[in-house]
Amino acid sequence: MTELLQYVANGLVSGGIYAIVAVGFITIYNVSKVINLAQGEFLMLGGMVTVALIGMNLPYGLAALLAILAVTVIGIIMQKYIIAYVKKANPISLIILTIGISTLIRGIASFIWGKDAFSLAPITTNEPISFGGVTIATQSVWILAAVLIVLLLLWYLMEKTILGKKINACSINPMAARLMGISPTKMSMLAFAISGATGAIAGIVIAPLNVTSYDIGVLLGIKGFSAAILGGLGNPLGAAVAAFLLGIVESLGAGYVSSGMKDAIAFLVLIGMLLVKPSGLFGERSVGKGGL
Amino acid sequence: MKKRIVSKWLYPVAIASLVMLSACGGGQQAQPSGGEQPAATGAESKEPIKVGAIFSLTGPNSPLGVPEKQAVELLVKEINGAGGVDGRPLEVVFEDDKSDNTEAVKAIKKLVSKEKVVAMLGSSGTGPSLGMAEFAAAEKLPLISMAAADQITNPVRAGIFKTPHTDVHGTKRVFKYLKEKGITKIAMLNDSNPYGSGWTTQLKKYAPEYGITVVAEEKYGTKDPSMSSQLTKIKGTDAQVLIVAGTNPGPATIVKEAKQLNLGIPIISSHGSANSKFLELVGDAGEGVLMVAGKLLVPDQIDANDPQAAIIKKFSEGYKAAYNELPDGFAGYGYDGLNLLVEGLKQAGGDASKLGEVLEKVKYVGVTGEFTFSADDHNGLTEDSMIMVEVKDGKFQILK
Repeated sequence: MTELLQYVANGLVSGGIYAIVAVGFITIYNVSKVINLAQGEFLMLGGMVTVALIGMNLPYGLAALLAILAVTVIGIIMQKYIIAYVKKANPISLIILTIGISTLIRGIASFIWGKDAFSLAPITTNEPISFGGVTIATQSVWILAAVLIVLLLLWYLMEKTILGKKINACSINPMAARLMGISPTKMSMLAFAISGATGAIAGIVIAPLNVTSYDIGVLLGIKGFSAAILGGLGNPLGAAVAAFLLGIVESLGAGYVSSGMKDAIAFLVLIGMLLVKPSGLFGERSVGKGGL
Repeated sequence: MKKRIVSKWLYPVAIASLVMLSACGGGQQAQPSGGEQPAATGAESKEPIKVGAIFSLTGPNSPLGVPEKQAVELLVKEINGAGGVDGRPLEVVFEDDKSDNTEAVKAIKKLVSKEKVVAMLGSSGTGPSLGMAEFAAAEKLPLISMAAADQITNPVRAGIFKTPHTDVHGTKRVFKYLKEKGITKIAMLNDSNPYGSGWTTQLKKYAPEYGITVVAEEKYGTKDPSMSSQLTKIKGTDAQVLIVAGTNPGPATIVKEAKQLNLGIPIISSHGSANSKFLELVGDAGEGVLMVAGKLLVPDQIDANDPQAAIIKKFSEGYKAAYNELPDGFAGYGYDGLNLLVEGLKQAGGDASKLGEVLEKVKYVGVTGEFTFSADDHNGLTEDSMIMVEVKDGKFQILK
């Protein structure tokens, strides 16, 4: 029983990370219909820039803050100078373009920092926390807290503010939004900025758990993307729930079936689920949301 | 309007492609160390002896490959400064296999066909080395590998040798230690790559001989971000010690996560992760971790009566003077590899085609151990040249 709870706890932590990545995908997708496959790279940059800045003797907090800012700016640049220029291209070309950007970012990162792994000190302590036989790292509490705060803030922004309404408007009908004086391009830029910032936060909080290197974004990006699809592309809440499910299934699979098959089990569940329900777990909302 | 867009477009794209080009260039800095030489045809006295060296200079095995290359470069200078081999200068042509099996085979083919090397060193990892050994054996090209797994020299192939301790030595040394401590139940969590699988095989094979039971056998992928599920499973068993075999960062991640999960049993990590990078990655989570390694890991703690003491002192001081850091075991594998090759070339009178046979009779005290090659042992080491160390105050401390 303790073992089962421990697997679930492990799964919740990795699920939380997938959730941030998935919500990043959806934030951009909803506004611009672009699936940003460089999302994982935002996480990598968050962790690596923090490590690099701490290496320059900056205090932890400042380094993390600067890293988040830097990645946000990279998100904006990516939208403003690359995505926005090819607005006329169809979504497939844009997706391929983001793959190119992710490879470019990875290449630059490995050029600057090399291909070695780096470690980042935990935010508070290295001592584990234990309750009822279940043990988790103190850092994992930080991860879950960061995930919840990010998700709550995003929910508040989208549902309770005028800015959120504008973003939603662009997502539902860009033409009508434009007629109302809302600029879809600006909203799209904002979406990239939000994705960059949340990605960087996720990258920073997960780095201390194990190690970080130039290529950690690939796998995290794929997992987050799977969660976004599983939750029904377009629905942030669905994506978050699906991400936690994916994390838990993966952890249970590794524990009870085979550790070598960890990723295979998670993706098998994904494929099975999509065969039964092609629109994803919570896919209803995305129907008719294409702005057509 | 259109023109403006195009020119605005071009600017970032041009920059992007420039950066990309330079990033690609970064991976290929491993080029011949000497000038372009015509292929060696006659054995003219001034013709350099060309040796190829493939190490993993980038990718996950780069913490192994970089010190190996540095040690070899240092030794080449020393040898040529002392008049070369048999009056001929030694030239080593380096290539990077990017920690990849296919790249390693491509590199060795290139060195043989383009550079006409007469012998090979490398590579750093087991996978690339196995691929290279396959090719070298078919081409009858002498090769000394710096990778750990036993399969490289077992079964014995003509001309294929290796310098590091094998997983068999590591396994036996760890089991000897466990027997002294009266520990009988072990769990293992090994990388699923050839290096880790080699350990899994040997640990299972030799456990009965030392009265040890394997209660949990888990593995992980080299690139896995988290091994907490495997550790949870191991925590649920009655294992008294966890043995981890892999190259960094895997073992470092495991040590960190074991602490996060409060695993509660000692961890013994293999010589594949015994270097300063490991200490850097684990931080204070590494306290108390045990390691099985070569003596070079702690050059200042070696007994003066040890037969290896003199060469370890000479190498570590020379290396420190050149690179301002102490050599690790991997640097030692490279150093011993080239020394053995040169020793063989000297005994063969500079004739590389006899190298394979001659090396089988070579005896040499190296920094890794005392090598005694024979017709059925192309590694020449025993487990007694390995030591057990403990991480204490962020440093490796030898266990008596």
